[in-house]
Amino acid sequence: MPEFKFFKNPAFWLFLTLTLIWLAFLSLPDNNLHLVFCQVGQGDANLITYRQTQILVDGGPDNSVLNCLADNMPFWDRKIEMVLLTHPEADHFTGLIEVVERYQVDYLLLNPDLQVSTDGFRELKTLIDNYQIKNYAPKKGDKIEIDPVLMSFIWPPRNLVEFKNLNDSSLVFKLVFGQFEVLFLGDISSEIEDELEVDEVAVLKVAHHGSKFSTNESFLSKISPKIAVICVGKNRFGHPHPDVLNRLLKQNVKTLRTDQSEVEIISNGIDYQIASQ
Amino acid sequence: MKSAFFNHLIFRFLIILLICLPFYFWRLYHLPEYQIPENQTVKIKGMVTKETYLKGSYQIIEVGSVLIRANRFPGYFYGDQLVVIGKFKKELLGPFKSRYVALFPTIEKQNQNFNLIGKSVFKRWLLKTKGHVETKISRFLTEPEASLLLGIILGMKKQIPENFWQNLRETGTLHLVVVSGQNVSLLAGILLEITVFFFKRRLAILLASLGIILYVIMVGGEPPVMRAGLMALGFYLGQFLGKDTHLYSILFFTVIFMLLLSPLILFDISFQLSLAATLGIVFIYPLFKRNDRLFILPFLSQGFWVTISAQLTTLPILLSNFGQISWLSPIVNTLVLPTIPFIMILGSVLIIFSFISSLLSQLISWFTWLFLTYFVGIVNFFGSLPYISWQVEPLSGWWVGFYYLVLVLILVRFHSKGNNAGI
Repeated sequence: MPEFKFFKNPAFWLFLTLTLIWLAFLSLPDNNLHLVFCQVGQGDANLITYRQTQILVDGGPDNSVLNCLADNMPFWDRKIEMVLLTHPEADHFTGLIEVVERYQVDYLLLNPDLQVSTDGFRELKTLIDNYQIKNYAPKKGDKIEIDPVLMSFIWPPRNLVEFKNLNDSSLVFKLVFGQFEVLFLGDISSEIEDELEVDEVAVLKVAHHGSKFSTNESFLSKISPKIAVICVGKNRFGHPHPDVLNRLLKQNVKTLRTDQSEVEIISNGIDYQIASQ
Repeated sequence: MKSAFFNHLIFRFLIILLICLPFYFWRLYHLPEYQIPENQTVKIKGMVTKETYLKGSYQIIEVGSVLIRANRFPGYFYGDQLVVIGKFKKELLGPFKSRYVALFPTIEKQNQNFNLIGKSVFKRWLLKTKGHVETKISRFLTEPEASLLLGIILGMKKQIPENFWQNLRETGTLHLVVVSGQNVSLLAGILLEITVFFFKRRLAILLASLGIILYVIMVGGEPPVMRAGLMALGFYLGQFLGKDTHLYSILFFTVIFMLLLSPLILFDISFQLSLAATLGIVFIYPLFKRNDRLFILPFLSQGFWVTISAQLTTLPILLSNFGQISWLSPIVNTLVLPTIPFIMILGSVLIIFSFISSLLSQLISWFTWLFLTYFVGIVNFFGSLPYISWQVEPLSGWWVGFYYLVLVLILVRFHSKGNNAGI
């Protein structure tokens, strides 16, 4: 095996080490907030990064989220500071199973009270126990700060435990980075949208993959987003619904869809821009 | 002299072939066959006979010749006893081979009885260990690097991301990652080198053989791996007895042995490809090697000509089955082939250390990652080029026959020429 002689050669190791150092140097993050809406098919997986801090919101329907993490994190970073599961539906949590297995996750935010007993969700809960991940169920009014990023929760309310359906139990929060604000709606319906106490934001993560039962006009005009992102893939539900696209068009909201490409929005805390692909 | 020996050898091979052929046909026509009535709900019972894997958000389970597509959860495992209730559809895979497919049937897992035969218990343990390794490795490496490493070292195709898989296929490098016979022969070399360092020659060979057997079982014993494993054992045996062994004799007896044992693999495309590629490397590559001018580039030349040799013999099989030509494949293969030994050695060290120290493993993983990410980069770059592969009408059997006839004639001519010159 001629390759063995390389392993004995110090120059070989020096060359490899230098390459690694340069690659690590080149992959150092900048000082901006990066908001990545991953391309995971029909489902949600959104990654928020600021320097070496990552917050992952949902994991998508399969393992595609792993590619998104690999592409948007430096290779030496094996830690995700916070993972958030908006609600325990397969198109939101399935990818998280592998994420929890592969990365060191510091905190996990989810709704543990919900009586969901699908096999996949049970698997995720077992893993959370096995890896002893600290978890917490945020409620309306909670503010979680990973300096300088703030997550301000506006749903579900503290006293409410019964929901019409799983989607309406979604954790809803506003992400605040300086003057830049993003609203994550999970899969809630219009009924809940109307109850939210929220004002204008720059970016909206459209609820429920662009279903026609969400994103109504009055709500849109209340929060008047500049950019709306629809997390969607090939599906049999007719998402995103043309009505929703029309409502967004009418309000002059620039609409981006993850079935067309990965969406990345970059902000320095004052301005923001859509990263060119 | 040499030519006479060669002719003599071919004569002996022919005699052996004539003796074995009737046995082969006898085996082929007396294979047990399963009949499952179609278009009605049927209940079958059996053991999971292969490692299960994920395809998108589904799980693929194989119970003998029945392939089941199921939801991802709950996960099933090799050796599980299952009762499957559903509709089964027959699919023909070749003239003598068929399988049944069931989509999302009801599956019940039976309580494990511990009267399972020893072999499957052992294999189950091996596969559990493999699963363990997989979890460990994927905590150190990103995707698709992690699954590339697991594919190269352990033949795992379970987690390879869809688009990377597609690029591997388009660039003609898939054979390096899943069930690669080539990697088994590489391992055979590495193992012997390591064991000889520590032990006396004969003991070293025995240990290396044991290692190869364990490896083949763990990887799952697909035909190409089996072929390479048996050839490695044949090579070891020659070394053990101190006899001069020829690659073509080892190949010949390995193939005869495998075909008599399980006649159907002759119709298995992976077996055909692996056999054809080996034949190419054994009979065509030496012809290129005669010309020093073809080997100017120190690292890359060898890989290039090995790939060309294998391509010349596998091309008709690829064309008649898939109708796909990947014309840059020799270049992509040449560029990534040199990384394989490094990935195998560093990756094995990483696997061992992942059970000892996570700090050291992290350090080793970065060095391994370098080679992996280079591999991924090359494959993804070439895979994303337009017109990297062409889809053509599948080639008819007559053309395949004609191609091989011409190839054999050319080879015979070149080989006899070379031998005459050698006298």
